[in-house]
Amino acid sequence: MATAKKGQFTLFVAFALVLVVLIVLGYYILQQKNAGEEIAKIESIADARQAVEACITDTIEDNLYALGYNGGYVNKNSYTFSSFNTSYELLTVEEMQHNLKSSLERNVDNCGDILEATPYELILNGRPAVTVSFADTAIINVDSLGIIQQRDTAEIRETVTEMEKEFQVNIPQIHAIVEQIFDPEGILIESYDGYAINIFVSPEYSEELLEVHHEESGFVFRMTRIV
Amino acid sequence: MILTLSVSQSAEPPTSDGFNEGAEEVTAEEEQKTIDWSLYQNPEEGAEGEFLLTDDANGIAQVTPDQTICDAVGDCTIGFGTQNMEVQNGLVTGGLFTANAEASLLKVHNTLFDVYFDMSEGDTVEVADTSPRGTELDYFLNKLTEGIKALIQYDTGATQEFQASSNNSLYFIYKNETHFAITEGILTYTDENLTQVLEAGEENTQVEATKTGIKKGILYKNKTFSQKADLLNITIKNTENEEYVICTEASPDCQATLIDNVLVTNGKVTVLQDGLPLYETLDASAVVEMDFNTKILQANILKPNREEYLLLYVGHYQVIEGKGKMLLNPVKEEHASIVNTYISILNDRTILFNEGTVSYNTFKAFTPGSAGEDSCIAYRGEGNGYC
Repeated sequence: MATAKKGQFTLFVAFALVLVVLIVLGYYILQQKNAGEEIAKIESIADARQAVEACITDTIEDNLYALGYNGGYVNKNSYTFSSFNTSYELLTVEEMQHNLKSSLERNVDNCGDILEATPYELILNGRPAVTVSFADTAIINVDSLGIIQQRDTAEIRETVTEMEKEFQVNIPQIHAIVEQIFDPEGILIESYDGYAINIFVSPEYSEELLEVHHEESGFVFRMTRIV
Repeated sequence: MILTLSVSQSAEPPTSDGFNEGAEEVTAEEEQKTIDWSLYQNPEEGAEGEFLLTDDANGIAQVTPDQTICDAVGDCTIGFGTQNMEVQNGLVTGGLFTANAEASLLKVHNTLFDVYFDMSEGDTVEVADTSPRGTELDYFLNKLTEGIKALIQYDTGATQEFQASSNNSLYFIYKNETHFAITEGILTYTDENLTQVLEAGEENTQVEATKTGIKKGILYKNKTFSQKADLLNITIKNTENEEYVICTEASPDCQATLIDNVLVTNGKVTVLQDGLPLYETLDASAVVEMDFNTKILQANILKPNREEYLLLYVGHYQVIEGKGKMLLNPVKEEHASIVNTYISILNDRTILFNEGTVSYNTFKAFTPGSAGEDSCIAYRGEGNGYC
């Protein structure tokens, strides 16, 4: 009887081990496949350039939307951010432009990293030149980052295109809405064409969060105020 | 004996309200005999000190607190001392009474009501319907010391109670049955469906009341009127006006009316629900209609002359109606969620309150932990959009 139980236990352990090995193996194969697909997409110097340019475009968009989500800052700073993970102070439009510009200058050259596992590499021109303009639309320009060349021969190379993206996001208008809604005496009950306003309050009633949603673009500007 | 009940000179009847119009003072000097207690001694063995008045008993009597006095309908009192208890047809109708520690309820009859006084040791009550000069008044005067309750019970079972809040409290019962006046005390009407409370200070506060409730009353500054019924539990506080007339039935000179669960207020006033502010008007020209049936509040400021006109509290939010704008503030203390729609005529806004959400067109504010916030977060979890 005892021998039979021992045998059952051994069988159970063996089965569990096989299961774990299968899961690990499956995960590894999946990872390899994904990496292979990524590389497989970049089969030419043109593919490499397009991938870098797409990355620049995504970075611009991501940074712009992060700027809105974090109340004028692209990156979160835990020392100045509220329980809603956004800023307490309303920056000027110029300060926001500056923050986005600085962030892009720091981050956009990371787009060369996507070529790491490919036969190509990005040769940077130097510090990326970025201009940001917030008016009726947000226009962001990133000068050519440099050239992409094949690692084993400098003869195969292409210049990364200067990227200019325009977003239908009116930051000065959103800024004015935030200024209006955060009235010193309270939250202004107002509606604005093309925008949705959401107000949230922290469970302790110590902070209030304002979200200005631009309906057309999906851009959200968030800001916190201490109650 | 000449009937000369002592009536305080300060207990002048109100004359400027119209309640007293047509009242005619009639000289009522008449000789009164002294009650001979030996005629009314309870003959039963062991009932010494108990006296049974019969309906032929009329006159003035001196009573010591150890005497038990039973009136002609069998209601008995004990624990009161008086030099001038008036008896008419075997019923106690007036006098200056002082209670001791064993005092029972004191019943005093007038031509309209039996009034019961709930008194503690040392309390005094003075009941009269003639002036010190012997002139008949058009009201019954009850002068009470602090803490005494005077109770009237209507034949419907409803009650009216006046509780004295000082040693100079006055409770006038006019001889037309529906008019009262109170000074320094609280008048409470209660029946099975309704409780109303009117507060009076030093001013002579006039009240119209019937067996169905308080119909009209004057609120002096910082005084309140409360009404508790099925749909509402409100208190109206006169915060600014010298006098503020509240009515529970239509009348031309009312500044606030509360009829069929619809409250209309004019001018500066604070309205509380369940003891917490519902709204507060800050402008003298504010007109607010609060319909407790539909939960719609409509406000208009006829001649705005301030920066802020009205404060409304719903759930965890305060709404400020101001000059050209309306503001919202979260408040930790939860107020009644009585209002579901706030219509501002002046600012041309209709603000909705539902499930902890305040909304105006595409503006929405969410109460933490509310159903509105939950549904918003769930919705955004699906689409990352706005609520």
